[in-house]
Amino acid sequence: MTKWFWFFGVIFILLLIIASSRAFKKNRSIDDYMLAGSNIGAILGVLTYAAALFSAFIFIGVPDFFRVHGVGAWIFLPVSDGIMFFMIFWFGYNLRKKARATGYKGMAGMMRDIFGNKWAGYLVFTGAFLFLIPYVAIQIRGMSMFFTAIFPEMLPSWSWALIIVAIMLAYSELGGLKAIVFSDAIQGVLLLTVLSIIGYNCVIHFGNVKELFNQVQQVDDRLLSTPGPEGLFTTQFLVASFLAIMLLPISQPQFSSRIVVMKSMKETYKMAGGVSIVAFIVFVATAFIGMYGAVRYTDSSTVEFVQNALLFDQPDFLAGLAIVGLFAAVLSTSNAQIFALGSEFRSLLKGDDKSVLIRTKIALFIFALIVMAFSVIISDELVLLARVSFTGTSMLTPVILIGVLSKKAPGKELLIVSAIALFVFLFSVFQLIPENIMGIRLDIGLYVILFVITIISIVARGTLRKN
Amino acid sequence: MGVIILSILIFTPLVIPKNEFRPELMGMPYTLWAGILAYFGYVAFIMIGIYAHSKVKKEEGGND
Repeated sequence: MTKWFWFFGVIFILLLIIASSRAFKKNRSIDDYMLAGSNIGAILGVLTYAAALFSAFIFIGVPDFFRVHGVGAWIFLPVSDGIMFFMIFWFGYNLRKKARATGYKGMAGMMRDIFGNKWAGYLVFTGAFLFLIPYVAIQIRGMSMFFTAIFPEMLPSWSWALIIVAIMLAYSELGGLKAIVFSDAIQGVLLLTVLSIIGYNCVIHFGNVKELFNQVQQVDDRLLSTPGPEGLFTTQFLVASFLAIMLLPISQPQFSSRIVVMKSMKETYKMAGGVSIVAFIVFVATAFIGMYGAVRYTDSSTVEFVQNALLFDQPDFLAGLAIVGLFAAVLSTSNAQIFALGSEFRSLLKGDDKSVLIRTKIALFIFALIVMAFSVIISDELVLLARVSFTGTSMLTPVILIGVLSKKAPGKELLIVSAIALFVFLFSVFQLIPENIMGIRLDIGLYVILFVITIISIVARGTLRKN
Repeated sequence: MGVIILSILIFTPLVIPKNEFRPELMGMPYTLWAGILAYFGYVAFIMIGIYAHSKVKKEEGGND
């Protein structure tokens, strides 16, 4: 397995070098660097969107979620992603129209201009910073732990994190968003191939799908329905997750920027359709891997299960490819998020192109260092931390959505109410505020309040334009 | 409207009946295959939307 890892690892690094050098141009404009010249076609679009979405949690977290909590995980994630892909279609149309009218540089800058208020820009940037940094850090931590478990003698855990941050910085500083998109394409293909084969192998181990689920039923039939053995998938939990994930193209800049940089509306639509098909294949594979684990590794830890199901139970070449696939998944998602933060930062800057580019590159470096530091101290709850990130940024939806749909400057009350919701949710993450109030989840309560105030604001001010 | 109705139905016992995994389809428990159908419901809405939008654009003779 180790020799296959090095073999595929070297090929992967060579492909990254080729991608960076193809994307590198002397004297390029800042828009070429940050927005890849806004000229991405449908196939690259599908792969880069999928790669930005599918991080370490798709390799480690999602199969483990199926294993521990059962088939309700399908409602928690794939179904929520289904409507999110629909949102690419619906929101993408409006976002691209607005972006063309306002000269998009990043969501924070666009909101500052639309609201005519610098605090709108600061709020969007702060939300992205507060909730993306821990999410990137947890992925890097997950990967380092995994690598340390597989190669205990090779390197200490922190050096794996250092390697990934160094590679990420090197090619994004050199090649910009175009290099990231190319590397995402490599990762997307790798992810799809590896997970499909492993998922297939997991079913074949039992003979067929029916027999796999028969075995799961014998282990614990609560895995076959909601709320699952630990009672996690309550209707409230599923609804709150659904809303948080549905709003990703609006609330998280790595997704909205991928919609804006598409070549045309037609290519954006093709991307929405294409990514929904790719995601389906990936999710089916993770469901089968999880169910396989539920039978064979019922009481194992997450790391033991993932090591065995993805590596030791697979042929050596596939195990080697899976390790590289995990590395690539972490690399591309982390990169997408750090770079999106850089874009948001850049959109708030003023000055000539050259000085803005230099300051943005310095900011990218600092963000990467913060992520590195965070990855050493953060907790290990991969999927749940991802969900916190989705929910946290979704509190900014009223600002961004109404900003994009508006015909005139929306009211400041949207900024105030979103800022309050963001910090209330943050306090609940640190358990300074209870997560449930009178039997209702805090995030659902916040969504209801945000929805009501947003409706009152747009009706009172007549903010929205008619399509 | 169809997307909203589908989204509401997903969180009813029609898709997530509590502690119930029958009827099965090709060996898959109920919530899983009903969830897969719901997923393809969204995919269908995307495809319908793309078709309808391209038709409107063609009639208007507009790009992007």
